[in-house]
Amino acid sequence: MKTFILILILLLLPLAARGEYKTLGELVRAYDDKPCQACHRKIHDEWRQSAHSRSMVESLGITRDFIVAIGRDWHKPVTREQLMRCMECHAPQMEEASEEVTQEVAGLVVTAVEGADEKARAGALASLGKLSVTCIVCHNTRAVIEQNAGGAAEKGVFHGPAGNPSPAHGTRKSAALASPLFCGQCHRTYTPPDREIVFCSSLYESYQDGYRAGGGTQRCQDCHIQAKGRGHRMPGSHDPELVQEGLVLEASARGIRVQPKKWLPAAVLEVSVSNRAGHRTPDG
Amino acid sequence: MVLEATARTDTGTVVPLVKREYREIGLDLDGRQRMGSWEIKEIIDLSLQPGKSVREKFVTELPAETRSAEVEVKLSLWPSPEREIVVERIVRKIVFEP
Repeated sequence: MKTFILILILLLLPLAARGEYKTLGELVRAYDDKPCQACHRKIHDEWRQSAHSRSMVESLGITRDFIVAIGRDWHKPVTREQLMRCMECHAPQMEEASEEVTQEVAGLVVTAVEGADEKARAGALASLGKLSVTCIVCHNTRAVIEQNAGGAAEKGVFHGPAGNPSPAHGTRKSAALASPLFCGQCHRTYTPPDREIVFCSSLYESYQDGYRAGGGTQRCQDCHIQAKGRGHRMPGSHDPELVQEGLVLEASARGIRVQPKKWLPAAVLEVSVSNRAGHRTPDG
Repeated sequence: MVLEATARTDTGTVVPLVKREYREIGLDLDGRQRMGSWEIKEIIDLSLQPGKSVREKFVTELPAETRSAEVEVKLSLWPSPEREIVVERIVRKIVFEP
């Protein structure tokens, strides 16, 4: 029994060892991307162009709707657990925020969308812009997919497919980041602790159940990172080139006459739309 | 994602032929969530499935005097309510024998 309890404590320890930041400034500094920029400039520039770098500010409308609905429709307080339904993917570092920071961020979201004056909206937007899926989120916080089994990544140790040593920080070679399941941590339905599933995105489910089950062999990384040197831009549905690669339109038209005796002209249009992407389209 | 087709006849009349919307589950075209996640599971998935094609066929009457028409088909993806990405635009000419 003692051995069992010891094992249980050891398993839970890495999950319980997360920090809890008392101010938004502390949280932002802990996940700051600028130190990475010094050595990884090209990758950082690519990331700057990505939706990951704007993950918080590009979904403010629906996040505001959700925050308002927590109190209005579900009669519950805005807590970190509630807000994580959005932040789990749009700003995963919020998992380490105190309840005070959670309240501040929720207030900023509402102000950014419906603030009384332009200055207040711009200020809120600037503060929220500092929260996003930064380098640390993917290469550390979320780098270990099976945290229940292996524990979270050690703070300051950055995981990657190459795992090249660095004088600036610890590194660890990890195949996880090259796996579709890694992307699936966010690009899928989210199940919060109360099991009320959030359906913002179901990409990973359709990748597995539709694309892979139908014989598809490409990974998310093949199309969104490696193809055409896309790198950390990781373009998606906002990128015309990628959208045009994924969808094909075919059309034929002919004229006929309808209504016997009147013989009115009519257009017969046949259209085919094909989805060549490895997931359903459109999706979050 | 929106599929639209119109016919412009030789007399200049523009006739809408079709408008189809392929939508993200549970959202309207403005990106607003209109259903709770428990309701979304119950509705029909209106998106395009991976590796699959959808075929649509439309027949639309044109004005009686039409001798020819240009049919334009446009497929657009709207990643956000204010941004349209035109995937492809196809124009076909049809002629009616007198």
